[in-house]
Amino acid sequence: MLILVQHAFLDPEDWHEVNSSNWQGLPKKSTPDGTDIFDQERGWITAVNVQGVIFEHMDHYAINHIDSTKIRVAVWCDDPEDHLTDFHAYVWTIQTPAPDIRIGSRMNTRQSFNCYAENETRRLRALNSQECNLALPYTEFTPPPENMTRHGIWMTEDMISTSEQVRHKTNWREWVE
Amino acid sequence: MTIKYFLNDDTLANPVHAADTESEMNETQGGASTVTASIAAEVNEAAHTWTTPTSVPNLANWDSGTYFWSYDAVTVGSNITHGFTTSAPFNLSGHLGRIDASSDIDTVSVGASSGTGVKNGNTSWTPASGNASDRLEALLWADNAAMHGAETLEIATGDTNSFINTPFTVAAVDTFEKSQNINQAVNRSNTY
Repeated sequence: MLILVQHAFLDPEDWHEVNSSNWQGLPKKSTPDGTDIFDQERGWITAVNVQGVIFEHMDHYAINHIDSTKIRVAVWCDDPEDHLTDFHAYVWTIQTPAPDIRIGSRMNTRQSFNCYAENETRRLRALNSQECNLALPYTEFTPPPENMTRHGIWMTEDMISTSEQVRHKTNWREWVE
Repeated sequence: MTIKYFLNDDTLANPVHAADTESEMNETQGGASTVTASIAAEVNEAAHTWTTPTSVPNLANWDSGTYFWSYDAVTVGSNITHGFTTSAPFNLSGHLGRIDASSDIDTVSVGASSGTGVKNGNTSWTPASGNASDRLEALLWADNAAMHGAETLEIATGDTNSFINTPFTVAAVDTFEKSQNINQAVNRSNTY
């Protein structure tokens, strides 16, 4: 499945296309420790875009390529400096768009997620959504293997804004085959 | 005949509820476009509203029945929950509503969603009574659960998948009676 990756560059660039089966081959930098220097080398993630769902502002990202029609996207926050008492993770299952009888068999997305959170309010907030399957304590979350994991890096609001401005707009219908 | 209102991208001059974008909904489908709202981290707010023009549907008594809602979320932040949904403990204050010039007369809440795609559903609603000048409003709320960084909610407008279908009935004109009325008018005009 096509995924779009925005790398955390000193000079932000547009989305970079990657096949989900090649995610583990992406360059990787170690977990940021506050002394990091931004450059133009791939290794840290600003955002991941799958079918117009934009995953960003997280500490870690992992893509599990199940097959050509299905992936799992895990994103989680576990930095004790930023999230103490609110460690949380979301694991999305995203399949290729398919005919949906609820809209006259026109194409539609097939997305759902589980929420894992220390904070009960965050779990209840997730359950508001009809796409949320489960909302469980964070202790129930098993982080993906290290070779599947890429790390985010803290960015200032200005850096976030600049990164967003250079991305081209997307629409989930671009993923309809 | 029931009435469907398309969520368009025509800026509304007189919204009742402030939102990031305030647009009209009309019986005529507008040109294809999108509306985009940016929601700050840990913020919930009115992202998009659509309201019928002044004195539309022009009904004092709104039909009780099934109201069908649908919208196409084309790009969404993964931390965003969105919907025409009211859930006070959980930061959602959206709705479908009957409004007068300045406030809600009656509202109904429907289910919330995440992610992209066509979101839809229906609800049974018996709107409270009001004036023929009351309008229909669709208030789309968004809640950003991210702790750091704004995220967006972009909705397709002027789109066959973005609309509110109501049970409002339009009185049908009997075509035979109509043709007789026209004939009589023509005959009268031919009288010297």
